[in-house]
Amino acid sequence: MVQLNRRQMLLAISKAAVASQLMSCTDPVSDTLLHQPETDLQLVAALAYDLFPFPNLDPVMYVQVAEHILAGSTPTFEQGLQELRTASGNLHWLDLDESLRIELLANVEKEPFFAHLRQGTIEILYRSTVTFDMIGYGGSAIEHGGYINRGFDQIDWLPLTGDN
Amino acid sequence: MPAKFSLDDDSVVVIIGSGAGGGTVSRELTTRGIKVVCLEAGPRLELKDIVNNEAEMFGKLTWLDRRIGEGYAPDGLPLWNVKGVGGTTTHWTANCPRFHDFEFKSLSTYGELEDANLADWPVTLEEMAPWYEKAENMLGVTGTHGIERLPPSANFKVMEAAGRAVGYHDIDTYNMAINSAPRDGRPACLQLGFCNSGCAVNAKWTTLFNHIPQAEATDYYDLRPQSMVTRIITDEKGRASSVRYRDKEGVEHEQKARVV
Repeated sequence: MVQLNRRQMLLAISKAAVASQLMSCTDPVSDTLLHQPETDLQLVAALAYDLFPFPNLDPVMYVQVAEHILAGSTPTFEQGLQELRTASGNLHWLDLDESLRIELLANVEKEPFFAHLRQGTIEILYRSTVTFDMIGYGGSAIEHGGYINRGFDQIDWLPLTGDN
Repeated sequence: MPAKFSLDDDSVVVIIGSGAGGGTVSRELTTRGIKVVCLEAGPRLELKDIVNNEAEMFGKLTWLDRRIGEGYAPDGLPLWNVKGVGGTTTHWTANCPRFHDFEFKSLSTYGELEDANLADWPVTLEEMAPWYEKAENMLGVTGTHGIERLPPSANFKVMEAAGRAVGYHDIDTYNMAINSAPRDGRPACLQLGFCNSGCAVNAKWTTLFNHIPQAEATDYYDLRPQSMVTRIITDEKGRASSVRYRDKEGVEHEQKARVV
């Protein structure tokens, strides 16, 4: 897999967010769309990436995170988004310098807005079987009779010790 | 079968909570023919509600009402415990160590320590030993009463190898209230993981799937889930005489009691 740098990843996420809203993943999303005002979906997806930057994840995952977060949005969260937009001069999040993005996020890290963002991101990223597959975690095994049948005790790299 | 006692029945014992304490006392009293009303703040889950998904179970189990805590207590969630029938026995890890003798005498052992609240217990290990025996047998604790320990997992083997490498010898999978073989109506552990999200096969001891149904098998148990106690009322002698609680609609009730 080609490793994207941070900006490339943010761009891919932003495009995926636009594609998701167009309900069309087949048409290539042109870069010109990014010159339009940033949507909430684009912004939240980009914020989620800055909180948990995994360059090997499919950018669509961050869009799913944003959809989840916005589905559970509150007036406080909406207000937090608006304040962040104002603080960033209404630029696209990915067009800001990384140091500025971190500073803006650090300024609100004690706020309910930030807690909502972080919690929502964790819920999707770490609940996803895509992530499980990436790190080699099997997740639920009850449908297979449990890990007792799936090598829970198998390990082949331990040195033998005195009592073995 | 489950009983239904009236609010003005002052011959009942009211138990607040159905976890390790309340659930156990529920069974001990009802199986002796004592009428019990058990007021449990949370809802009741069935075994089919327990799934191997941490996020989903966190939502189903957790006491999420805003609470206040001292010390390190994250706002609103000072600790992860359960609001539901069975209380935190659904969530617990099922480790069942006994105190060592010196742990009953921490003040004598360590002396006064600044910013600590050490105290000697008013009981000794010797006095508690028969109760440990009884509880270990009731919970089916591995490594006691001839119950086989759980098999070692790959994680355990890493820890064991590390322990032996630095000179430890007494290493085992510990005393767990999780069945290594079928016992007491519960099956053996399938190594599912997710123990803290509730055991989906009931290999881990809980009051939810063990003591509560046993209490309900008598004619003396009236369990009221989603009943949040707000106040214990005392009589002129200062003794508890009734309990106020709110049902799931927020309607307040008052249950008379012989003992609370």
